[in-house]
Amino acid sequence: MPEIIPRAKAKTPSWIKLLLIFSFIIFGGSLFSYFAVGWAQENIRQETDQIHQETLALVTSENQALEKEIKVAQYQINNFSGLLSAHQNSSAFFDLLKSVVHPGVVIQGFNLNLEQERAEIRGQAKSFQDIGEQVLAWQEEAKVKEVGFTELSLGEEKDIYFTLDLVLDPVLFKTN
Amino acid sequence: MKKAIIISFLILLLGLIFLQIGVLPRYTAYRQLHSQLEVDKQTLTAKKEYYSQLFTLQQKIKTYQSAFAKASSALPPYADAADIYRFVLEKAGESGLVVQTMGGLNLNPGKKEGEGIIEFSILTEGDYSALTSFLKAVENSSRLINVKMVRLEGGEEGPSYSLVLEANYASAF
Repeated sequence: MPEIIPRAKAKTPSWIKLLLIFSFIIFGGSLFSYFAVGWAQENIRQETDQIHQETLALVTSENQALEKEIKVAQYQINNFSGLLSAHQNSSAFFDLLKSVVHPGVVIQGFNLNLEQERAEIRGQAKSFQDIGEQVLAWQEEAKVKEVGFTELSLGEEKDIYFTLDLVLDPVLFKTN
Repeated sequence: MKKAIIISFLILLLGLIFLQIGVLPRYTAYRQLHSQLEVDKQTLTAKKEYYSQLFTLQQKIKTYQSAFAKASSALPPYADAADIYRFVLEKAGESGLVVQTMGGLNLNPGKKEGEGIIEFSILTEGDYSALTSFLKAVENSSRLINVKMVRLEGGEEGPSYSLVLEANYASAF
């Protein structure tokens, strides 16, 4: 039987409408966020690339040379004082030798070892007295720590040959 | 009505699933990229600052050039054996020594890290005064040459001297 009076359409409740709107907002928001984050990622990638290029551009040969120059200078400054204080001066030994050598003694040779702070002196004298006085002169020197014979022999024409071993005070070689 | 509820829930579910599997991983990657960018920016700023400080130091060194030249001369950044040979020969000649042989070159590591030692020997002849004059000239030079050993041998044609000399250099560069 045909409806003469049509039934009123059931009204959709407002909470369902709200639910539908909310669902669309969530769905739409997700889609929007997906593309927005992608766009932001791309921007950051470009910025990172730019920063990398700028960083690489800083490492020029000029800057590397500058870096090396400063490192060398720093090393030189830091180590110079130590090098200077360790610097030895052999000249003082020769001045000492000149002042201590006995008139009756002829120096035939010597071996000065600054690393070990020792000197070996080979000489020739006419008498034992001269050699004794020579040894005494060395012993009286404040900058000579030890004096010892390593060799004593008689040569032709009654010459006496000797070898003295001196242990020297390191102060002797210090640069003034 | 039922249909509307189902559609709403389906759209909501779809939106949430997309958020979970599509947006969140992208966002995490974005955060990582952002953090990396911050680190890179700091690195760039630090490098710029570093080179700027190096440049300032270079200018300061130039200001104290005369004082710095002593340290520079005493400790060159390379083994300048040829320069030292030339210098020693020059000073020997000026002092009146005749150089017979020169050699025995050794490059040894120094006591400190980054330090090298040039060691060489020289055999000369001449007056005793020439020897002392030569030693003074060499030892007092700004290159800071050390005399390690001096051996004097008296001969019929005059004394001969055997010397071992050494000088430091910065081997780390």
